[in-house]
Amino acid sequence: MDADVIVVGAGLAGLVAAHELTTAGKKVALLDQENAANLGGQAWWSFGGLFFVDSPEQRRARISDSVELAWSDWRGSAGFDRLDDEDSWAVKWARAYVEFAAGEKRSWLAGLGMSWLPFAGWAERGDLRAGGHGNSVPRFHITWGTGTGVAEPFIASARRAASAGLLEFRHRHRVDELVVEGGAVVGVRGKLLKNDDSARGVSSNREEIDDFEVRAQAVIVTTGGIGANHDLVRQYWPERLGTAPKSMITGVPRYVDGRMLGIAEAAGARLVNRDRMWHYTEGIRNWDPIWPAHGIRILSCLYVYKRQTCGPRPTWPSTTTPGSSSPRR
Amino acid sequence: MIEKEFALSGSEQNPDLTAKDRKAFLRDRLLGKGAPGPVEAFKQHGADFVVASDLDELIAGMNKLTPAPLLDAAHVRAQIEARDRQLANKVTKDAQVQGIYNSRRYIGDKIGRTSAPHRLLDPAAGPLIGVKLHILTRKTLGGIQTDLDSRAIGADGSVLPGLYAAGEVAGFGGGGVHGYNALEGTFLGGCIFSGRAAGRHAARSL
Ligand SMILES: Cc1cc2nc3c(=O)[nH]c(=O)nc-3n(C[C@H](O)[C@H](O)[C@H](O)COP(=O)(O)OP(=O)(O)OC[C@H]3O[C@@H](n4cnc5c(N)ncnc54)[C@H](O)[C@@H]3O)c2cc1C
Repeated sequence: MDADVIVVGAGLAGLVAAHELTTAGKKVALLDQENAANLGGQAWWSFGGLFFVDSPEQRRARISDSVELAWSDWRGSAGFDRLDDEDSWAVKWARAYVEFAAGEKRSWLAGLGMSWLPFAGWAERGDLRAGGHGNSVPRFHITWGTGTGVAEPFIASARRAASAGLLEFRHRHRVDELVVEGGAVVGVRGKLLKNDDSARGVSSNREEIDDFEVRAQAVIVTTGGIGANHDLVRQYWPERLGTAPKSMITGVPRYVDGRMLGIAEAAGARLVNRDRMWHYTEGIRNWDPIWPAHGIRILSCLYVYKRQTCGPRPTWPSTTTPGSSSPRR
Repeated sequence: MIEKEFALSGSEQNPDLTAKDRKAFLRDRLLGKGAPGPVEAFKQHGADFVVASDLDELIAGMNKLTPAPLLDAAHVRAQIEARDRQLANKVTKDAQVQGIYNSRRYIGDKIGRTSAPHRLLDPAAGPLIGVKLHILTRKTLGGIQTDLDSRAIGADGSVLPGLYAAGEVAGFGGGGVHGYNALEGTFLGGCIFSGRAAGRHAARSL
């Protein structure tokens, strides 16, 4: 099959892009370094919590929410301070996303078969300031099926497109390079990795058995973040959070390796805001690990610090994630 | 407290919700006695958990989890007793307790996410559970800068022809839709919104 578009990364973002393309009748080659068992990427492992604004669940609990309240919360949390440079597109995306979350998001996903628990959860309850970080009201809507309930409709769509001849799965294809000709990206190159029957989330082998090159009219990169690559996490660890901890545990599978960021940069893409990350203070080691140093994020009850450092920012459970990590010693 | 206020994130740690088992959810989480199964399993097998009937035993156990003892039992006891004293009235100066009262004004938290405020050292509420926390790496908020159609921006600030980026690699849209801090539940939606934009624009322009 000659593809119109190459999608690199069969996580949620890649599957959604493929869904849109194949629904419009376009042909997609969906490449991923992992095997078929890993379709859906991190989303499959996730809690499936979705940010909606002014939802039926909120209204039923007499919570009054609005685009303006959510936008105020978003800006207070984001603290965009690179507006004419690294944040120039980000801030436009943020506004568009809050409107999406208050509008079409819920009905579009419900139309694909998703449904949610009767009560919204209240995450990131804030830093005590009306204009500061945090949600003024509960907005965390857990999907029935958790992460699998979010990923499934798009996995099913990809499978249907494959049987209709519109999508080709290319598992175990690790992209190492974007092909650039005349200033445009025209394809990808990489290594075919040896077959691996590991279960979902388990680290697979990296044995290279062949080279490949695929070309198409456009390439969509959806390869996830750097969460499993502690070297990159340390390299970009921001000064404002102090020095990176000596030991950390890992909340994502091994394939969230961040390699593609450097590959995209080498092809001419602009990387921004690399010092911004979202790691959790409340990690515990999984007693039954699936991936290396597998940690689980908990939501807990009361923090006790070695030294009492509670300053103007609250450092308690479910209030602010960065607030609780910076005074930790 | 562990029945209601302690939760684990992720699909495999929440089998009732992942299996869309509405009855088990109601039975175990809202009406149930005892912690949900996966939480109980951590309590029993988790390397970071200490369960004890009194505070000195708890702190001794916690101190065994670190190369050198970090916690001073008297210091911890003073903090917890001070907190417990604040529960004698419906008003309090302890902001963490205020936070619980505030949560309980929301019906979802009152039923599902908080236990009725009580003294931590009340023997009837025992045993005591200590959990050692680690920094857990998860999300990348920055990444490839993109326009509103998820087209990658090049080094010179204009669109790089032929390349789109979406999801976490693009900072969930634009190279950092969250800025410095996230409101949660925004990552999956950011993948959906930016992935959809990429697919739509590419489909239109081929
Ligand atoms: C336990 C857990 C709980 C979470 N809970 C929530 C929640 O409740 N709400 C929320 O909004 N978010 C949550 N998240 C975050 C969310 O799930 C992720 O941010 C999101 O799924 C990322 O999707 P993605 O498509 O961008 O990337 P990924 O899912 O990381 O997929 C990237 C894919 O690209 C592949 N790939 C990478 N590099 C290459 C390469 N060079 N060549 C070929 N393939 C490559 C990888 O193998 C992978 O399959 C959670 C995450 C976890 C792990």
